[in-house]
Amino acid sequence: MESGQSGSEIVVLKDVVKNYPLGKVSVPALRGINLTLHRGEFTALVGASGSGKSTLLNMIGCVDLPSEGKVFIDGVDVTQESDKALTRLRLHKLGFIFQSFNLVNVLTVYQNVEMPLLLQGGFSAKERKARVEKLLNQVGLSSHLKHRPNELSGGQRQRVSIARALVGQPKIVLADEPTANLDSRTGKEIIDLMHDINQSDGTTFLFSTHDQRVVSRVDRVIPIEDGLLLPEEPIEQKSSAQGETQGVALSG
Amino acid sequence: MDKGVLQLVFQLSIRSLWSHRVKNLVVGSIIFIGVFLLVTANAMLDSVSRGMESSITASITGHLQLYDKDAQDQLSMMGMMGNFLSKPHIGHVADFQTLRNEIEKHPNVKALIPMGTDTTIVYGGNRIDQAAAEIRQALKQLPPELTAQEKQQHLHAHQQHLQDLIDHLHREYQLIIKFSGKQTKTALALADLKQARKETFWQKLMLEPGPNLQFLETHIAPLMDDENPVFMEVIGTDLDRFKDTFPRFKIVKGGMVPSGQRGVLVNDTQYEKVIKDRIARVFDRVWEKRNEENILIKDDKELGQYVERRAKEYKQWLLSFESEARLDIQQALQTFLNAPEAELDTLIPEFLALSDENFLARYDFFYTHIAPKLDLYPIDIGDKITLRKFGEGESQQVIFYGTYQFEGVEKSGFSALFHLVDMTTFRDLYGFMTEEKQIEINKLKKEFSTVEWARINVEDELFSSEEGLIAEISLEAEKEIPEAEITLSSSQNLSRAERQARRLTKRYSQIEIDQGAVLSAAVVLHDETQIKKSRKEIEAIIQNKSLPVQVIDWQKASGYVGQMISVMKIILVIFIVFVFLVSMVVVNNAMLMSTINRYGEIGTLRAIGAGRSVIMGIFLLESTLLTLVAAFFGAIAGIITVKYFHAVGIAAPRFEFYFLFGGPRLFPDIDIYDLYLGPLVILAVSVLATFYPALLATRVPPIIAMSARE
Repeated sequence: MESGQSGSEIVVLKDVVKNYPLGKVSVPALRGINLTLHRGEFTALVGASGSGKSTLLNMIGCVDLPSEGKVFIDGVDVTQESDKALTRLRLHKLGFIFQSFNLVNVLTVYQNVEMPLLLQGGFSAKERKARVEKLLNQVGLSSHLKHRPNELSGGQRQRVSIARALVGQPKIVLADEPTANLDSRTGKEIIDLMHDINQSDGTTFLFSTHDQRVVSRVDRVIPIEDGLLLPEEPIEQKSSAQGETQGVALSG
Repeated sequence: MDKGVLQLVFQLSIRSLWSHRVKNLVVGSIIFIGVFLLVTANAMLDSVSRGMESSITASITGHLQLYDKDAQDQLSMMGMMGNFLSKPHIGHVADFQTLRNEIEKHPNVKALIPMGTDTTIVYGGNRIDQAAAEIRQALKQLPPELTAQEKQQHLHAHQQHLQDLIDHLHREYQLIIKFSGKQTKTALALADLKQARKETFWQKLMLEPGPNLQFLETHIAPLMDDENPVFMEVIGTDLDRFKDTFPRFKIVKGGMVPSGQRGVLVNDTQYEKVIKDRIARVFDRVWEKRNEENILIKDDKELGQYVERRAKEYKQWLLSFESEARLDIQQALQTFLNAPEAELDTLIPEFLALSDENFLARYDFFYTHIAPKLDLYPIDIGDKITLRKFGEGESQQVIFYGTYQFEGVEKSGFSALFHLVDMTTFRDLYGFMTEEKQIEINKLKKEFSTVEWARINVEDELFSSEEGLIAEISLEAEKEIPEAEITLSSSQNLSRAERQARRLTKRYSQIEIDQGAVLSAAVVLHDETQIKKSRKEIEAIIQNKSLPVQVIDWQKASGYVGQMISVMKIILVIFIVFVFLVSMVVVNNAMLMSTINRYGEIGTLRAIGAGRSVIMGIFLLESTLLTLVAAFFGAIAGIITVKYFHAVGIAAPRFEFYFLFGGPRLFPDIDIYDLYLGPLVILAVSVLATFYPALLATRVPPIIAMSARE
């Protein structure tokens, strides 16, 4: 295991290249990415369609591996890990919020959120109940425990998805275009919710978006274009908040 | 797997089973039907197998058969039919007594019954001989002082019968000469026939029967073919113990062979269907088809042809009519057919032109007017018949005491396979040297050769030692053979014929029956469910006591008949494989569809941290649950069906099924074994069929979740 330089680094990417084979040629999606994400950051990955932001999220989410380079999650080089270890890593350290919510329709809202806890194991029914209910309360769905996902609106589903991503207390929550399937008002509500959680619990968020409007809420914007990161523009008004959240995360 | 993970797997499986309930209902129904069919078919087959087992074990083979350990071929008691030209070598067991003593010590052995099967031929006899014997007997009854004419009047019927037979032969020989020229042999025959047709021949015969009857027997009788010989497959056995041991055995006509005596019991089915008068059998068969199977002549091409073919044989049939009967039958038929002037030659074929419309009236007429005048059975109960070993000269005369049948399976072909003959006669026929036979041989030596006095004394001692064994002579036998009225003291002076006659009614002791060779021995058990265990123990006894026998189960011992069960088992296996394949394809397809439909869901589960084992678990559990539920209901439906048939029984559709059903109705029952076979097979199938789709599902990459659309 090779660790990043500092204890606050949760994600470190070193010279990450990802090529996708397309027929006989291989198409580069990422062309050498170096990136570090810190605890408690609320970060947006911004780029146009095909810029490589989804691919980058996949690398960080350990659902795909880079062609070249290294990806460290919480100090672990995931490129060296087995499928089993990666699965465990996703379960314990990562939370996912999907563009299409990806809830299991055959389960209730409650069961969907409970799922990661069951997979992690080691929780009593009581503990699970407390955690699930607390989170559903937090996302404003405490009255919808027994509902099926398909009985909910898009926004509500994404809230369930957020609760599910958070219930296992991940190191970082990854959200791939979480607002793409929502109208702009709901989308904004979702970003606000994630931001609120980031503020209150210090959970690290990284989400991709092509929506410039949401950028105003974030600590950090990472622009990506053609598989390469562009220079970041510092966001002054958020610099104070970063120290606060980091403290919360450390204490929590 | 962790408890939480298990809970999740269950949750997901049950939920998705429910949410795809229409599809699962279809898949479940197919599994349901598969299990239902397997359970019922298996139960039915088991019941048929038990029915057959009961048919066979309770009538012929017993539960196990013991036979020569050095036999070159396998004992197959019922496999011999149609195969008697190449008899298998099954050896023999020289000392039955010791075998019986040892084997019957086993607590589960009810009895050890000696057995042997052999093919014999019974000749029907010569009509001229028979008619000559009849007239000789009749002449004895008449006062000798009567004139030839008076005697001829008294014996008109007998004379007419003989003359008819001679006329028939005369016509035949005239034809032979016409077509193939006058050869010395035929010319002589014709001359003899002419001689016998002279009126003076008959007058002389009446006054002094000896020479002319002899002429008929030596010159005329050989010109006439003997009646069709009947092949009789016999089982030689200890008749008394056979009767007491095999529960299905019953006497139908006549009576049992007197205890310990020689005798033959003719199979009733064969008596009715092979031995009985050929034309009477036509009426019987049409009647049986009509009343028991609801088949009319016009419905059954084969039956129609049979009726026609037999009707053409009327000339032969006419010869079997006694002269007096001829006239009566002619008169009756003239009235019946409304043809006052017609001769029998035209009446009979017309009468035998049976149709569905005229059958009942003619059947009635046949049995009320014709049958009583006929010799319906060429051998009658009480007759002495001569069993001739097939292919060899060995022959034995025995009294035919009655017909027997195996209860419940009367109408099946299997029950008609064998006739039963006493063990002693069987041994003689088969050529085993018995003590009695040895004595007989010695006796012959004494009569025909010069022997030393000392040896005669020895033989006398031997013979007189046997005298104690001679017991009462049955009344039935007495009627048949008055020569058998012998006294013990005169036994040493008996002629060969007399000794033969005496043998017919001699009562053999159990020791005599047991001492000697047998071909095989049937082990009949008290508790037939213990066949396997008892077999092992019996084999141990054989080993310990070095008995020269080997054990074979009833199924093998019965030959091709027992193998029918194996054939049916194979059919069941094919059926199971078929159900297996269908279920496999269905489940496989359903699960593949499920994998494809749930691609996104699987990806999501993988992305949020579900391992491959979880995915595999979900799929396997889903199909297992589905199968278990469907199989449970399938089995319940099977039980209900079988229990229903157990209560009402299934009627045998044809007589051939009696044997399979162990009687006219099959009462199938179910046992635990039937119950778990079907569900287990299906369960294994579903798990197997799910395995590949499930494996594919575990291969769904988590990245799918990223692009998944709900």
